[in-house]
Amino acid sequence: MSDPILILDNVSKTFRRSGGAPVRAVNNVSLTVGRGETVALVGESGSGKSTLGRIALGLLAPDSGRVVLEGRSLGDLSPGEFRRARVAMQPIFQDASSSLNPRRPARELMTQALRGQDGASDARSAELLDRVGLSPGRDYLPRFPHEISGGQRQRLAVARALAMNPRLIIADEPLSGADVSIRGQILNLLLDIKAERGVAYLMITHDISIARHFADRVAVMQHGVIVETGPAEAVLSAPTHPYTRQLVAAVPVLEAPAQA
Amino acid sequence: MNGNILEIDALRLAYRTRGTVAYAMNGATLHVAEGEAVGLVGESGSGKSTLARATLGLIPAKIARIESGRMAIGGQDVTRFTEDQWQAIRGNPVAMVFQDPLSYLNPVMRVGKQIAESVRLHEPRAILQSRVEELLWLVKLPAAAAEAYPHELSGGMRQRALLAVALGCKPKLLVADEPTTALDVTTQAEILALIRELRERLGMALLLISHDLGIVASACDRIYVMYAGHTVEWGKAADVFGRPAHPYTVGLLKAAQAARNAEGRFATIAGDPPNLAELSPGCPFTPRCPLARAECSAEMPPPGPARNAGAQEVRCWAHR
Repeated sequence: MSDPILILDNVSKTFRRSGGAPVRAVNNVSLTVGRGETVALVGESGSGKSTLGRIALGLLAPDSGRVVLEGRSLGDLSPGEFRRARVAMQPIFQDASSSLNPRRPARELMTQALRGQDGASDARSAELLDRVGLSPGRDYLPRFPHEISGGQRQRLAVARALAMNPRLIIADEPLSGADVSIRGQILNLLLDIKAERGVAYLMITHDISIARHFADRVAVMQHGVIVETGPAEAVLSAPTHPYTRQLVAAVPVLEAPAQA
Repeated sequence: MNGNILEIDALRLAYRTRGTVAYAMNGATLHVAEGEAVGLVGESGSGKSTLARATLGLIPAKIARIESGRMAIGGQDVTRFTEDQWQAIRGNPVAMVFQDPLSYLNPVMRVGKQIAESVRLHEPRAILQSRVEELLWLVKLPAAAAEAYPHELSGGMRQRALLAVALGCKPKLLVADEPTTALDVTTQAEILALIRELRERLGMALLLISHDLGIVASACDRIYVMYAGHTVEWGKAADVFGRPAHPYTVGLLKAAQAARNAEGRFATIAGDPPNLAELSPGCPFTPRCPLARAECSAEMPPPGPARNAGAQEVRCWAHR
């Protein structure tokens, strides 16, 4: 991995509450995402994984440490440079119904995502919608988020993320709102996009089985610290850190049915 | 009494709002025997939460109506119960815990007092204090939790507190609607172990509703699978999950494994879950079903034994 797309270098973030003890949400964490690599960041609520995701996205400035995107440290950039650099990475959030403006039809949501790009047009929007399986895309342009199903909303969120041709997609629990029968469709879509465009993923999830089967590498976070990292399949099938073991053991096991 | 604490037979329940009619239950059938642990799985919009709420008479009377079918609790027909009649059986014999305890616990009342309120409905005042202590012990909360307000407790402790409130009425059937969905996996495992232990200790029946197949598989003897207002397959957990019969259950199980096949793809069920307001007379799974044939879109098949599977019942033309 000669040129990682994202380097989180010794990042820390402490939240101070008035009248309460400070919370060290992220504590000297280092994490690298290679080009075209899929990294899963797993942990329970309060582990700091979402805070780390927000730091990576540049939505939150770390107290110390550096976020290096495609070789440039985000903290050293001017606001204009930062805006341009950040285009390389795009977020997908958990709940498409709350991250999509309910008062805007898909057409406007897409145009907004394609902001200022040459060739921002209905044709380009429809093409992206087609790409994520909302086809024919033209038919979806006038629809509002509440007029399509939950799975389709999540696809719309993916289409928006793709609009800027990102090289890194940071997805925070992109599937926790999706039904089991829809989850596979979204995961396959993310796999296809990766195969076509070589995009890298940082997927933040509490779901051990998704992390295990979707990611190349996994980082397990607890109390603001990455406690174990390595190849996803190896770490999650034979965890070595006691916390990872506890986490894996707590997942209710569903035996594969006898017949296929 | 025929040994069933809960009997739901071919229940049709419609929500009517602004000109649309949605059948959240469209002939659903579900039985829970005394002391039995039954799981109900389904996706969002399958009607599983409506079924759960119906067992406590918590269906909004203004917009919802039971159109046909029957429901009985402890041998008593409750299909046409009034609010007053429901009030008399809520808590005992049937009590419920929910996904988000914070919205069901009173935020400005100490936990101990809330438990005492549920105890007082069914028991003499004299033993109130000792019963509250016993209930806290049963759900493995420290005695000091009685003095706490709900917001001072962690998510797992709140669910324990809600369980204590429910158990305060000595229910014969506990209905648990996604009781661990908002919790972390390690806390979830603790709550599921607690529910199992309470069931054994108190001999209480359980109806556990969840979208997570692993949870119901680990906690229940018998399973019902619900799709678009119908219970489409039911039987012993080992049969339904080990040798699934309905194409929806087969697809759901594959999808739930979240494993990739030889081509590196994740298992999926094509299409989207149906809109309950736009249902055809046939089997609602037809548009997504790999085994669909002509009769499927015409008529919903009656329940019957599964072919080449276990001893479960299934509603599918491919098995008739």
